Amino acid sequence: MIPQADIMVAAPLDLARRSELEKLLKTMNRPDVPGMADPNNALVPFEQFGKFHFARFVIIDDKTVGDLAHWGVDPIPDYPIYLAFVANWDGSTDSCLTALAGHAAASKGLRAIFSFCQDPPSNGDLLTWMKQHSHPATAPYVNWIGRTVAQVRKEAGLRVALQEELAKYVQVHPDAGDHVRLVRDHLVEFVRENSKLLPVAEPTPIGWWLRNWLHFAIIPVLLVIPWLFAIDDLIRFPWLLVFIVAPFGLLAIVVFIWLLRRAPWTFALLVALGLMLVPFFILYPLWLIPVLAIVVAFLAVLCWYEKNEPDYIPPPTREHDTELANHEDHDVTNQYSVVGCIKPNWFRLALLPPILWLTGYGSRHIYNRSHLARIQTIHFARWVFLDGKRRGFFVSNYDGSHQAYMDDFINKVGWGLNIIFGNFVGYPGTRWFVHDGAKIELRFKDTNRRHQIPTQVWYKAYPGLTAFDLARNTRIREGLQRRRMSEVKIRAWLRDL
Amino acid sequence: MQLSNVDYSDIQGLVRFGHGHLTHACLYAARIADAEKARAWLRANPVTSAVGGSLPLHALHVAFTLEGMRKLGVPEPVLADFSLEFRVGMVDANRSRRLGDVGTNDPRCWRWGGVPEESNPHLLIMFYAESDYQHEAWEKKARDALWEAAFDSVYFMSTVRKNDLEPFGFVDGVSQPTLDWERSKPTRLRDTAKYTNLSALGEFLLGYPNEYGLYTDRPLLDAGEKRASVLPLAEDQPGKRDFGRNGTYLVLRDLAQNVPLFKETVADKAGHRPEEEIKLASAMSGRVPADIPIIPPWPKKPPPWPSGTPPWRNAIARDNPEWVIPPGASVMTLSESALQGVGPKLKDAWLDQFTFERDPDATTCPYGAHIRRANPRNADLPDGTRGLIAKLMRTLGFAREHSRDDILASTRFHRILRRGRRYRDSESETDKDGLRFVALNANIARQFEFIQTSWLVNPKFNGLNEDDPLVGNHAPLLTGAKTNGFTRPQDSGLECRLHDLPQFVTVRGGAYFFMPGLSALRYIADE
Repeated sequence: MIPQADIMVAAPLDLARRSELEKLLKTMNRPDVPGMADPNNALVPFEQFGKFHFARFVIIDDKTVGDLAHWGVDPIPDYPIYLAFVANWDGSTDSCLTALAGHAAASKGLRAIFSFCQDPPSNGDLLTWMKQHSHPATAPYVNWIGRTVAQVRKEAGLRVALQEELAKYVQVHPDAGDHVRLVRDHLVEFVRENSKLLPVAEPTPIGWWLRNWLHFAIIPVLLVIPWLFAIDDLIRFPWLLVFIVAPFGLLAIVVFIWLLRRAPWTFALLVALGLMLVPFFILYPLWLIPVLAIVVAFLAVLCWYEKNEPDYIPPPTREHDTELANHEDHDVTNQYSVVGCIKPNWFRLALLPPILWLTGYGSRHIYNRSHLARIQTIHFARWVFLDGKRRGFFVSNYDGSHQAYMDDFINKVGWGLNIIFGNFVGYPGTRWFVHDGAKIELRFKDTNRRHQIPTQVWYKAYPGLTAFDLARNTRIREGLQRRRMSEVKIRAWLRDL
Repeated sequence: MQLSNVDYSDIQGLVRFGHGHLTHACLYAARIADAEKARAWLRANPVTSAVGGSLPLHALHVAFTLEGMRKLGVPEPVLADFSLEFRVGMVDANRSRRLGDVGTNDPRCWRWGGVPEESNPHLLIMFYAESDYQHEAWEKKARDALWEAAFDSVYFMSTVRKNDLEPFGFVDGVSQPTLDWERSKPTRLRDTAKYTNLSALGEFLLGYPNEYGLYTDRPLLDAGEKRASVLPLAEDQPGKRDFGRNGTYLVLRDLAQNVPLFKETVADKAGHRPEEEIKLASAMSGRVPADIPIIPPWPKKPPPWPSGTPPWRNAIARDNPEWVIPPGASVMTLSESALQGVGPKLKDAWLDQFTFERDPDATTCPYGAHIRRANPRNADLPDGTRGLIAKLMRTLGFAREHSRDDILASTRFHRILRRGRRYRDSESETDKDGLRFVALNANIARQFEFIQTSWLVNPKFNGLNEDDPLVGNHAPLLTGAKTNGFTRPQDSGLECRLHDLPQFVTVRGGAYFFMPGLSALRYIADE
């Protein structure tokens, strides 16, 4: 399994030459589709690498910084306007940057593009320059960790081949529907004979695998640590273990097993360990005092800020909306780039980093198989801090129209959006952290559109395919490789074809 | 906040009544030649309100485009407060791409409303009557010298009298949301786990809370402003006069339907076997065609609906003459328990009391069937979410029971009131039959445009790779991939897939209008 790297190289732009840069970036795009990269464009021929899922060049120009005046910020900070290259790549960040710098056309193209920065790579080493200006994601999201571009394409081809083979089979066997097991056997055999249809499984890089495990272990370890203090007492008073800890332990195991069937095992483990805090606090009720004190203090401060922060949400202008819409709805997937200032008070500035850390943790270890909470339409997304964690930049690649994306945000994961974006200037007021906010529909849509910025160049390696398509294609391939399947499962599998 | 009672005398009657009982209807999309005379005409011809008691015997309604209101002297700051999509209008390159108005649907080919701008109307005048006699009398009275002087280049849209069937032979106008006139719906937002057909008033009338419990943006005037005193007070912002209250946006699309092509295609694809033809047409629409002679006529006294009605009722009805199927019945089995907002008329229950909850694999009603696209009948949370733990799990995106869970948007935020009429133009070469599609909604982007863009013409709707079999334009994807198939999932698991359906419906005109409340109309028409 090859994990996906999330790359961003960004540097302040030389503003005097901005229009010249925009002209150059335009030459990368298809002449017939505004904003969409020609896969084999002369500057960065993304297609030739075969490892880019998505890529974009975007000028991060936040026209809303002036809103800080409503927060009493004076003078308004003069944040740089960045030129950013953002990409999702099969492999490590290093391997991506090295490949780019080592590619004759791309290295020349990137030099030309980055020459518009205030501190251009000019004659120096491009690779070093890119590494210096690399902004690792604060929280990346990958729809399906480990699914490479090559696999996506193979699986898409596999589905087509199976469809064709099935059509042929049904023509010869009109009663195929009564013998679905034979149908599947035939298709399995067909693929066995044409093994080129299957993607090649690649070994997981051991270093990544180890780091990923250690990263996941952070929260389970934190949840287990309190018990270290309890060991002595439990040895001294074994009845505590029998009558208090053991029943909860049993319950935790039951909950764990119940959850295993419904959610990723990582989530099940975290819930089970979290549940074990209950007997701990029963044994040591005094520990509850500091915990509760922290929670109450947090809620009080949160509540105060929620009530007292200014609510300034003008609508986007028609010109801005048109400029964004020009680049939308050409393919089944759209790009989204949005930038904003974090609310300029200590509470929000301190709150957002841990929230984004948890977001990254959740998407890395829990939501890494086809859905981010209830959303199944996001291929890749990333949050990153800019300018000393005073600003945030978010990009995503989503299926469907912008309205549909907003609808998903509001109605399916409004709570999550509130927790993260509620810390940004211009976000509609939240209540108790998760309520209101995104659910204030029109203000949410206004602020979202207004903070969105045009993406000058956008590349997608598999146009015409949605994240749902990719998940289905993977299901089809996995179904082929399964040893045994019940008749019901076979029918469900055939329906996917 | 005190919720006031609904003032029916301030609402145009079309919203409440739909005028299904008025068999004659005609629509005039007109440009204003003389603003003063147009205002005088509007004053001389009162529109019909929604005051109940008995249904009106004839009705007049008017609606304006932004340009129309500008012509009539509505101040710019008022106009600037209308929604962006209304201000930009239906014809805009980006919007056309989203709505599927490309290829043969391109506004450059429209008869009216498209390109050039001179074909764009300023206002829409709609007249409804019970008889020819009334209709003629109205024409004589209303289309007087003042009319001649006030309006020019009027585009006349006739409609046909028999209005319950649309040209392809399906019952039209079923599956309408029921409006919460009593304002009994809680305005506090809670995730729902059950489909409801009862819609908040604010989804269809401005100035009332919508399904989010919030008031949709609309022009509000300072109470002290000149002439504003004719307007009602804004419920949510005391001290402001509400220009939008009791008004709604009216979306009009002139759709030509190629009936011979549709019948031919269905016959061809079904191998010219009548029973298969019915099945195919039913699958494409999601409802049994009403003009199929197999279905017995609506009985005088309909029987109570059976609880487990099998899917192919028409075939069953033929074999069991004691069962009676109403025209336009859904291919879905009716739900045993009543759905909120469906009924109380038995006929409505027969036509509308169903969801797709029991058909997750779409073996009864295909995912791509027109009615399953236009109204997926789902709730905020996936079907079958019961209990607190289930709700929590589903909210986190876990405990999914079907690969399509969560893939669709919640229906209650995307409903429209349909007030369209069928037309027949025997003189026209190309547009003999069709629909003057009319939709009322308070938020064009979230309601009409969403349904059109994300549900009907979206080739990736619900995990499919095809657009709407009846109304889609079948434009290929950017990759050249076709979208003109139609998939019918089967119990066996082997899907039955049709290829290369032609385009049956062509857009021939359209515009976004604002249909004001009567007070706002007075404001517009006053000297």
